[in-house]
Amino acid sequence: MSVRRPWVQALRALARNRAAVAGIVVIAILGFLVAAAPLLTSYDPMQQNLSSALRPPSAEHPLGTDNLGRDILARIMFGGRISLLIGVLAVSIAMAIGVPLGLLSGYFGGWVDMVIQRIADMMLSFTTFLLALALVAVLGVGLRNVIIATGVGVAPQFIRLARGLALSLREQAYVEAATGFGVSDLMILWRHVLRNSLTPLIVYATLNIGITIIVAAGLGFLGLGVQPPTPEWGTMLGEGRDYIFHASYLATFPGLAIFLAVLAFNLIGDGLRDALDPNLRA
Amino acid sequence: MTPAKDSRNDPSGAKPRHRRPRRAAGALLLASVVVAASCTTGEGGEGPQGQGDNTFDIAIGIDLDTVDPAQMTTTTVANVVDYSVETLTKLKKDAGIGPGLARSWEVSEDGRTMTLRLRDGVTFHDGTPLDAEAVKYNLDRLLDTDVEVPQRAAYTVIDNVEVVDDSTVRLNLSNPSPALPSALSASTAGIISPTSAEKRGNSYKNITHPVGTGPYTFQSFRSGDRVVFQRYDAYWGRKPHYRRVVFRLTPEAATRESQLRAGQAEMIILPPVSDLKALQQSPDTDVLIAPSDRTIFIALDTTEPPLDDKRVRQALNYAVDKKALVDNLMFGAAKPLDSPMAPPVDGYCRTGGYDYDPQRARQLLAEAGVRDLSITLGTPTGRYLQDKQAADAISGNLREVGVNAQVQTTDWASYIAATAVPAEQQKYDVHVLGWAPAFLDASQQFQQFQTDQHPPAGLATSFYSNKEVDSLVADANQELDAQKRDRLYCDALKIVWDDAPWIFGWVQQFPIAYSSSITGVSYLPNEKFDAIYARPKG
Amino acid sequence: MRGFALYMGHRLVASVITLLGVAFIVVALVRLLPGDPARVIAGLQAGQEEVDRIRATLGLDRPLLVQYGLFLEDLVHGDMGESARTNNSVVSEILTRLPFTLELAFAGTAIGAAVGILMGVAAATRRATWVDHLTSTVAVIGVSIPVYWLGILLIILFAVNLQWLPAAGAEHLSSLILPSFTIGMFSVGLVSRMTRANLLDVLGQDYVRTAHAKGLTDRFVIYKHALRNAFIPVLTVIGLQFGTLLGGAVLTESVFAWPGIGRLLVDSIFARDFPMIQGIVLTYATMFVVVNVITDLLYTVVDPRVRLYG
Repeated sequence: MSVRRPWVQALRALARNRAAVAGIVVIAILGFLVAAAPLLTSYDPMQQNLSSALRPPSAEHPLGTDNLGRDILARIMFGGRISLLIGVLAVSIAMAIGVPLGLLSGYFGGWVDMVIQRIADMMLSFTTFLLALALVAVLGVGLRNVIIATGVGVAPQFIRLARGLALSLREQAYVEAATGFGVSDLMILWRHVLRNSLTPLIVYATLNIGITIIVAAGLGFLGLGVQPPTPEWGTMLGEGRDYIFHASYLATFPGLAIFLAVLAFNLIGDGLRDALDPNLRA
Repeated sequence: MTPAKDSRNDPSGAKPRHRRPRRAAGALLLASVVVAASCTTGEGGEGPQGQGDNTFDIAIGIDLDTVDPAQMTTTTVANVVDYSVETLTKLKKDAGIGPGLARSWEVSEDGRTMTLRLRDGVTFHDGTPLDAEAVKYNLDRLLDTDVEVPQRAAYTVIDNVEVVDDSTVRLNLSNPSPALPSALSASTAGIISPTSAEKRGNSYKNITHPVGTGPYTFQSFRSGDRVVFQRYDAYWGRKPHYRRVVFRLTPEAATRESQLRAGQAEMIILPPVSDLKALQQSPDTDVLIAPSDRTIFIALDTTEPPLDDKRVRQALNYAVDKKALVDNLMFGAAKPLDSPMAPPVDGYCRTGGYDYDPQRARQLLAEAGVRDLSITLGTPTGRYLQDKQAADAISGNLREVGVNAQVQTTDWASYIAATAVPAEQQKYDVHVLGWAPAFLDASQQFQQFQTDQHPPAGLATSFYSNKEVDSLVADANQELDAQKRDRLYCDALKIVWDDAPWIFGWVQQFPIAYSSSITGVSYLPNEKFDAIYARPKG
Repeated sequence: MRGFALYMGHRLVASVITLLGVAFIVVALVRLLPGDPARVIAGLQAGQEEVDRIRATLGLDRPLLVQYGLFLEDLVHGDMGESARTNNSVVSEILTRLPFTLELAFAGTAIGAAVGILMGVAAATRRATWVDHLTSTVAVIGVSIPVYWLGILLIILFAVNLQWLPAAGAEHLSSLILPSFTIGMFSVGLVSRMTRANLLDVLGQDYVRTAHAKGLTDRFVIYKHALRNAFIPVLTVIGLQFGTLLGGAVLTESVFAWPGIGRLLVDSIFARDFPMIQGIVLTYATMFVVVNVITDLLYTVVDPRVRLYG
């Protein structure tokens, strides 16, 4: 499995997957817009000008201006930094919590498994969004807390996945062999189990970046997102919904931005899955 | 299928409508129109008996937390319950207090007793008569500490309630209370049938099915969904047009507007403010922007340097372009404050204006020796019209005079925990707050400016303290001569205005949108709509 | 049968542990929420005296473990206390609103399962044709669009512009269409992707090829053998999705003014209505546990070879 330089093959397979390539292109474009935002727009995303509020898209403001007269394009570009950051960091947190717990649970079984699985069940029974919502309510709004809450919200999914992987890898010949040689459990977990779980974990993480962006956007929709005047897509969409009838661009563009970013991560995730591990089931 | 579905039946006994195919509904509608057209109804101007034309649908934004008058804390909830429960005195559109269930009242020379004469021939919806005993029962309940009455403070001046005869009640007061007639007009003091208090799921401590004397009888309330009222044909006053009134509980403003535009609600409150103009211009809809009593302001912590310097507080007032804010952000659904109190409140007088003058602001700040001031500005989100957006805009204004105000928001519960606390626990340097007096009397507004109302005792969160104001207000609160009383309050208002414990914001107006096919939609000046006598045009 | 009883016993114990844990977490969690519930409930104009009185009736002055114990004791008697916000019984409020949440979740799941499986089968059997591309596109769109945004757009299109369907509320059967389609969209995407992937997997396996060789028609092979085998993971996803829809419909319920418990939970969190939050979360957890068991049992129906206790 790990002998045939899977990454080279995978990249080739990925390059043949048109949808995945489209996803990569979209993310590359978004990434560029977001990273180069200060160079691409002369507008300050926080600069208000009430006298030019709610202007529809024009040459001057390609995506129009919001209720405080701020340039929507600039806010989407700068807001992307926040939204993408939330997606990536929240999934990192979810993995940092979920993967070790899941691997331990699957590898050791017994009461360790029992305890960890009950914890996962408890978290799952809140469902992702409500768990994130409850945590933000307790921690308070703000970027850091949104990231933590969203990350913890999706963590149980990673516990489940990692457990399944550890369960199947435990039975593999080389793990048994290693045990026979007296290699410590932790070493086996690190050397063999984790390394061989990386591929499906990365695929799943990619797919989950999209989910965390949507969950965070939902918190923003409820007014539990980042602090003003920081631009963030979900909060922009949430605030734009009251303008949907006569200044729909306030909601449409952040909505599209979320949609495109999530779509792209899903396409890449699908492509990676096909390329790396056709048997993986999320 | 499920228990709750049974309750979807109309109270009139019609079958659940959700299983009926559209064609059948159409046929029924047609049939009802035919029936209506072929019989002459006795009551002039009555529409068909079917539900289509004779139901008035109103979409409101909040779920009801209670239907017990005594437990009211929210104006809109009270507004709904007002359809079936009436009060002894009534607030009028011009903010005066007029007769309600009491046709008249008099206050004794020393101001220690108030005698109310009740209207004759009034019956509760359960058929029992409204008499002095019933009134005593309700007021006693209001004062009974076993019952949860959040706004009880306005009534504790009543020592006891005496039944003089069947239609006369005497209230003995612990001290003179010129505000009491106004307090008795609040929905909190609504009169329900004493015999109903133990029936239909009601208990003395918690009324869930209010039985009042109003023009509509309460039929049902389903949490998160709707409240249904049926016209009370034995009503003592003028009878309303619509047989049924249904309040639809729709939290999203854009959805409420959709319901209005789609013809699924005849009237909605608080449409998205940005659409007020379009709704006004549309041939299908009309808009009423009602004056209201709610002042929106930024409370400045007057105990904290440099905000303890009056010049700094005045500078902040000059720095904010209230007019631009009201025009561009509120779309006309607000008016800049020209006094620490809203015009409909009894005791109001105009005290001046801090017109937008950034130059003056910079100058005052320089005089006070303040430079590079950095403050946190707290705001709730969605509690008041455009609150967070306004705070955002205000921080933009302040930046232009060299004050860096960092906006911070959180949910309402956390917000009041961060603001309605003693000075040393305050989370923000300055914070956005709205204040609607419990009833339209200056004494209620002045709770914001009295030393004895500093948290935790009250909610005067700017910790403003001025002995002169305290004594003027104390005198005014017990002054029985209306003119003298007004003068005392006005003097106090002028001092407060000059001391500027707030960035004086605006009076929030109360927008109502309704179908242009109806008429008779009105308002009361305390953020309430008055649509009981709404009817189709023509 | 003994194996089955053992299995059920095991599940029961695990479920009870989960529920006790959830109950403890929620009792502890709500008390970590910033803000004074008594003040929120009493409103700004209420006097301090009234606020103190409400605080006392909520019993918030007792130690956490005592509050947990009391909560459990009440629970045994089928009581979850009274809502601090409305003073009504938590159980009766939940019972009023739960049917709406269930209705929406069932409808959303039904749409997700029916449309999703059809799309998945169509895509898998016509691999790499336009059918496959189209359904795959629809599927990935379904899992990428923020549902509440979709909901608002659907209201404007179908209720305001076309006037075909009600904008909001829960009155007619037609009121159910827009919200269930809105939340079903995500499930459609998920289920169709899962069906396609698994079906392709199974179609490539030996016994399907054997069946083909025996001359069975395509359709017969697909439905009789392949689909049945591909269905197990799909069923898992549908079950999980149902659970997610129960709790995840919060924003959809708000947008469509649907009187479900998701909205009630959010309102209760904002109002710091501790007893109500506890009651709803525990209800969710119970449903989660039940759905899991039912999903497991369904495996054996779909594929009799599956033995839960093997």
